Amino acid sequence: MKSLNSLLRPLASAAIFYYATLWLVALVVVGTISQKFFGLQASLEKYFSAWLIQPMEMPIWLPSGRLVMAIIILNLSAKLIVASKWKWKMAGINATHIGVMVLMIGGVITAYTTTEGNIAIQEGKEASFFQDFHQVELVVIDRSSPDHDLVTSFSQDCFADQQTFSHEAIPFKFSVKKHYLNSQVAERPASQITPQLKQRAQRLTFIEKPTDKDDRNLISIELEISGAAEGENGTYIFLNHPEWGGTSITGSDQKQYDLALRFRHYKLPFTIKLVDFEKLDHAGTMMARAYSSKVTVTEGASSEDTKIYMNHPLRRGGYTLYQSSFDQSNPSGVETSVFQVVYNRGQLLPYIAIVIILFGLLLHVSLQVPRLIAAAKK
Amino acid sequence: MRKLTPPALISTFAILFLPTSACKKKGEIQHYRVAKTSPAETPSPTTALQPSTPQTQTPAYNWTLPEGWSAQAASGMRLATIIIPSESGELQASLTEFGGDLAGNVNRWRGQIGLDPLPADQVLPSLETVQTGLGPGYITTLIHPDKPEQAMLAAIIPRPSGTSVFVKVTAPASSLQAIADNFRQFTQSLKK
Repeated sequence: MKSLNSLLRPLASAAIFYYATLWLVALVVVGTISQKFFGLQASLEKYFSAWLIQPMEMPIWLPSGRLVMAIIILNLSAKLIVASKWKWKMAGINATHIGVMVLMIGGVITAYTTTEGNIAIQEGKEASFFQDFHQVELVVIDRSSPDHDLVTSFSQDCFADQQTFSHEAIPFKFSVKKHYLNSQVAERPASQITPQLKQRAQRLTFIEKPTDKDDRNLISIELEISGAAEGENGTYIFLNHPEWGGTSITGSDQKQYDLALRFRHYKLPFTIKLVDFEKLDHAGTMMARAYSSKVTVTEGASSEDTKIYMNHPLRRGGYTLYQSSFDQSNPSGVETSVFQVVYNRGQLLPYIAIVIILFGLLLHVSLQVPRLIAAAKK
Repeated sequence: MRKLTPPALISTFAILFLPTSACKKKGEIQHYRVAKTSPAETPSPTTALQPSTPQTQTPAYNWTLPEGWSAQAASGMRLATIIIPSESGELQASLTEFGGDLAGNVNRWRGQIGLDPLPADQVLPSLETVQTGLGPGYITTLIHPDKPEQAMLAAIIPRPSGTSVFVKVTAPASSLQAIADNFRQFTQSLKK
């Protein structure tokens, strides 16, 4: 324990917190400005989600948001473990430190568990999935059953170059040849065409492009697929675009599978049905004054009618559904409502942290008041 | 010896939580059952549009722009974006190359503006035939009677490779009528 103490004590230095916080402020400023030039998602990833940044491709690495936050957590932890005095007169300060720790833990949970996406539902229809804004997945759909489809999905995190992946429910094995975060479709030069290339890969290839600042990226992947029927093993290409569609491949089990690259789908623990969408316009204009969606939420045997509108999201099971957009273009009059879906297990922690910090600061002031009064009397 | 205090436990949790969470996020594989969907919802080559998009960094095709029109370079799935000035503002026509049969594409566009699909044998008679530098092509103007503000003017030029070159612009019907002659002239000018 003594060695732990000597190990942690240098980490508990207030100077670490001071300089790390200053660096964090600098990252916030640079990251905010960079959004204008490189787009929101690319800037978030570079300055806040990454561990290290390489400024202007120079051969130096600097700490990015995630590393700085980890340093602050380590620093605060070390301070609480070895350098805090657990006396009544320090209770307020210690409570405040715990509050900041809870805030940081909330940040960690949010960073690793938050999922954001959207869901578009037509009036009268229901949905139990939402799709990611950025992440894609490779889906393999087995439609052989007359009652249902079996879906096997591989998230984008599987797509590192040369990585292989598979699942016992399907006969295929995938090996990533190339994965592009943004790409352009191009004609494959005749000199590169080989019998190993299958279907569209025979004619087409992808050219890597820098990520789009408005996040309009065409994500693509070139995969080596084995486990297909005779003559169908080879290199296939997939692009995340609605008009690109999917690819049909026969497996070694002689079943037909549909494969596609699409925005990642997440299952909701409940089903949401759009009963009615209502849009109120400013008088004499087509400008929306307010819009709202009447929905029925079904989970197991229970069912609940509710309304989602501006500043009144639906919160259920860690999921928050915000009214975000709508589509009234269908001439039949059937409207579509679009909800933004956020899943964040740590959503309550910032509120808890603020209450603890407020309590800690008030306690500290209360404990100091008698001493200050006594000092003033002298 | 120092006792493990509650804050120390919280800190330990925070330090341990970081790496374990990171592992969980990596490469998720899911297998689940969903209600039957039609292949059209996850299009397959046999049922949906088959893009073959020969998109090269130098344009695969040449054209002559009507006066006032301009072209933007290839991006994404587009061979080019044609900027067309009009009284109601700037319109954009997309120039693309995809696969798919004539009737399938025309009916897909009809569906996009809310029109019912036509029987396959009635599609060709509904189109205006034009001679282009790439061979015979077809032009269609699709207007929904209840939604004239979302009309479509489109041209299809089938290619010997089995793909088709498409020029498509969506705008109010009145704007499309105003640019129809120039659109035909542009379509006819397309060549290798």
